[in-house]
Amino acid sequence: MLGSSKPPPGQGKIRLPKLQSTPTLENFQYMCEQAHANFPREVEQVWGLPGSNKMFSLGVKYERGVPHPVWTLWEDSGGTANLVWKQESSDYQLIDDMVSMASPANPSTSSSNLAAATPSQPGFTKTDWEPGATDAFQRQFGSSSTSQSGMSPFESQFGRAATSSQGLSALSPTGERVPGHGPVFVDKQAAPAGVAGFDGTIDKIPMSSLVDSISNDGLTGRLEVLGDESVGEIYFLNGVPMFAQVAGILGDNAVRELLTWRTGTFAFFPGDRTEIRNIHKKLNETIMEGIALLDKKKHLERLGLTPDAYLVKKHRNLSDTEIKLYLSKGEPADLNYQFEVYKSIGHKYSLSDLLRDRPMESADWVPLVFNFLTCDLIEIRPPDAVKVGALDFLEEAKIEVDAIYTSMLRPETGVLAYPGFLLFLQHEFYRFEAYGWPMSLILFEMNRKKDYDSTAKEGSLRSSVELLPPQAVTVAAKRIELVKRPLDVFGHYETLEFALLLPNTKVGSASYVANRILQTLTISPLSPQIDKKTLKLAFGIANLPADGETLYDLLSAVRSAKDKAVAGNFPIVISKSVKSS
Amino acid sequence: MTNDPVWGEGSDAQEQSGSQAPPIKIGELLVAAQLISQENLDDSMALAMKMHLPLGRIFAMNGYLTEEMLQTGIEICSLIREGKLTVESGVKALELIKFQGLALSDAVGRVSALPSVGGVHASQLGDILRESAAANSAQIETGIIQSLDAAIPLGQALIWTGVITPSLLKSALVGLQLIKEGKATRGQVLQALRGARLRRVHIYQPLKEINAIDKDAEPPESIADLLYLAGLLSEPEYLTAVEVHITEDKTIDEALLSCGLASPASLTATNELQAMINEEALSKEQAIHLLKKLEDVDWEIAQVLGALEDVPSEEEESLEWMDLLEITGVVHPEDMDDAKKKSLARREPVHSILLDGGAITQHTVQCANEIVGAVQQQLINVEQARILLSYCHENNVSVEDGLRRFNWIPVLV
Repeated sequence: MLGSSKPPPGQGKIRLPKLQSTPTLENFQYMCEQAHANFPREVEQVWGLPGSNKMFSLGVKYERGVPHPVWTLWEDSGGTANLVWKQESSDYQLIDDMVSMASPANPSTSSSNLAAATPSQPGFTKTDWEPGATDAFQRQFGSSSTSQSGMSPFESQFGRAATSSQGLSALSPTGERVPGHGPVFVDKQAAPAGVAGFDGTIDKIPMSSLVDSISNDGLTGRLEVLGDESVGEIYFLNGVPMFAQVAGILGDNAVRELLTWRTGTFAFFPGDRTEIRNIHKKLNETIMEGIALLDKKKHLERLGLTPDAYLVKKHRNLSDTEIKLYLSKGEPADLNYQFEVYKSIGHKYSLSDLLRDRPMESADWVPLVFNFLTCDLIEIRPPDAVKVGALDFLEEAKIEVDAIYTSMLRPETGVLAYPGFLLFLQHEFYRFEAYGWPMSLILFEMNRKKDYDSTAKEGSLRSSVELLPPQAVTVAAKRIELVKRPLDVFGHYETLEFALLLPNTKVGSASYVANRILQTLTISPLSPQIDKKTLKLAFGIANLPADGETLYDLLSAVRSAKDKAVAGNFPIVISKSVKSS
Repeated sequence: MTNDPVWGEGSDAQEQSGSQAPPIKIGELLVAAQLISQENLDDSMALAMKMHLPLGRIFAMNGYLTEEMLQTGIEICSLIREGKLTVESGVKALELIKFQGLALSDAVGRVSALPSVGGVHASQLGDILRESAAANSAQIETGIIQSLDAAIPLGQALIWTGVITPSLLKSALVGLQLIKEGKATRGQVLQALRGARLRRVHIYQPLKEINAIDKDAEPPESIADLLYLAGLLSEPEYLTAVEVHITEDKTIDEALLSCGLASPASLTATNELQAMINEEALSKEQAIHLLKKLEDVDWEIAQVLGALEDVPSEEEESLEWMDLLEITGVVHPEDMDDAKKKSLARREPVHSILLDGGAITQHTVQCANEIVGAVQQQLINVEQARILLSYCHENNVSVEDGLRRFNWIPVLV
């Protein structure tokens, strides 16, 4: 049936009826079952392509001592039969991919590429490394590491990689994977001596072209890409992408994610293999999706989208129905999910905030944000547009404002001085009077026990405390800054204490803040010898209107609460508790 | 002055030796690190010139700066000149020495984790969080700066600023430990960490799913877990100790000591209890029970073992849930008085009248009941009960959520 140069058929070969199109997964499964049932005979499936005199023959047989069936694909162009590939595998999907790669019926692949790169002598196993394929790649990208300086190819490759990229330094100079880096893969075979990989930057070569070329050239090995934020890798087997991962994303999604990368370096490590397979889609489909995704991402970036850019709602008071109507104008996507995400966009909400609250891969968030934009629901604002200080427009004149605030700080601690604190307290009280907004006050002490003595009783402990040194207060202030809101006011209270004013806050929430402050002050030493055991902390909390109607009421209540906290067995006391006891 | 630093314009040692000008002068460095004001520096320099005295002595006499601090400043200046530190990292190191009392080597080590100021050692935790997409580079860098300023580990800075959750930090630290011990690859940990974040589970679950670890494997436990479960460490304290243990290559005992979270005596006692658990001489629950009795005490092991007999249970104030409603301000006093009067007249429970009148909700009643139960089980004290009810009532959250947010009971994810 095939050309004369085809080796003589094996004894007892089972020939299945000729097909008029490329066999499918069902055909492969049937062939395999027949081969298994008729061990050790080979099962052969022949098919032709409409409008072409080209014929293909796929054989499968089980061999002794080999766990998986061995597949061979022959191509006959009318006179000469060539072995296209030979592969041991039980993965029908892989065989399907490999057959598709060799078949002209698949428009994205070219068998001529494979044929050109495949030695025609029978018995050649394509899973071995192919210098010809590398050469083809080198011609295309001109980035081969094939030694021209007397270095071995691997020395050349890794020598350069180590200098061009920190990430590649995870590989040892011999090209072996350093333990502890990357996934565990089996059946890794080192490339034959004299075989080189290649590397380069994806700034110049789009990822889609790179992946497509490796696939078309039928290479076997691992493509490692070092991006700005993460490392990704794709394993190829005879040009078929088998396994991909990037920052925890796996499979087809990982390939799609990698296709959106535009900066970084890559290196191809010939011979690295895996038997794990997590890529199942046709590569050309994934590439098309990746390119579409990249186009959208580029469009969003042109409009100023960065991780810190703000997603600002264009309409403040849209009803649910109106939002859904707007969204219906966009590209098809899960309407309810889009609606849910849109509703969650708050004031000063950046892309980072969105991805923190709802972790998504770029394949998910890019279409979402793109839809919001095209549906006229949001606009993108640069980080500075929202983040800048309210008085920044004053430019030079703002220095004077800052100077006034600085003059209100105690120089030794950098914390607002008591008179300054009272000034802010007074302002907040006016707001309470005018609008009835609640306000809470936390009064607290941070002292050091002079001699930590586990046998000391409450009374003696109280008298044996001393003030914290200013350095420790400065560190404490930095920690408090982390847990308080920007609009909360932290300052010295009288001479020895501290206070935190919490506008528009009720007692329960104020207690929560006090608890956070307590915990952040004790997790590690404020300075040497000032740690959890030696710190004496006590917090009193009061609130308007819960504790009265005047500032005097508030200050009296918070003082009583704090005094109870000093004497009590729990360091946080709310003023209502004082009244009850 | 043998090691006379360079203060003024055009008089630095490097210029004298004909090499490149240094990036910063010692005076500028001290001012930048807020060790001395520009005004005091200028005055001191003028006085030093006039009196022909070393500037360091003028500083010391005026109480501006100690000789030791000045010497440290000079050493940092040398490191900057040698290119071992950038100006920014030198300033930051000097601040850490001055304000946090760190030794020079420790301060230099810490600032070296700061990528943007010329650091050479990346933060292990920062890297793994960034690579698993749990935080971006800007957040990590801000976190590192905040952690240096506030003298807390990076993980805590990221938690307090809402970048990551405590459970994610826990998973990231376990992942780092597995990489260090060679029990999982970096790729596996990154993949599992991302899965853990997305699915809000402990990293062990995705690690088992990808066969990176044994199906029956359990997260390793240390004495920090024992102290945490006994309530002697809060969750932030526990995580801080574990982070220091893993990222600073200290033993867990060293980490607890350096964080001031345990004394040598308490560590000895806890280790002995842990040994007894390992030998099955004591159950974990018994050990936790013993530890709970000894809060805030520098114990001897004999004291610990005798704890059940020797240490009397602390007497808690008795608490009724109706009282709790009243004293936390959840029910206005006038409403409560009215309700009590109506209760007597109608012979109905007070809470029914409050519920009917809309003074309280069923959620608040439920919370109050649960909180009283928690007090009776000695999970929290009365003061905590008052705070918790206020919080749950105001924010409409369950008691369980409230306890978790306040970190008042151990929650091992």
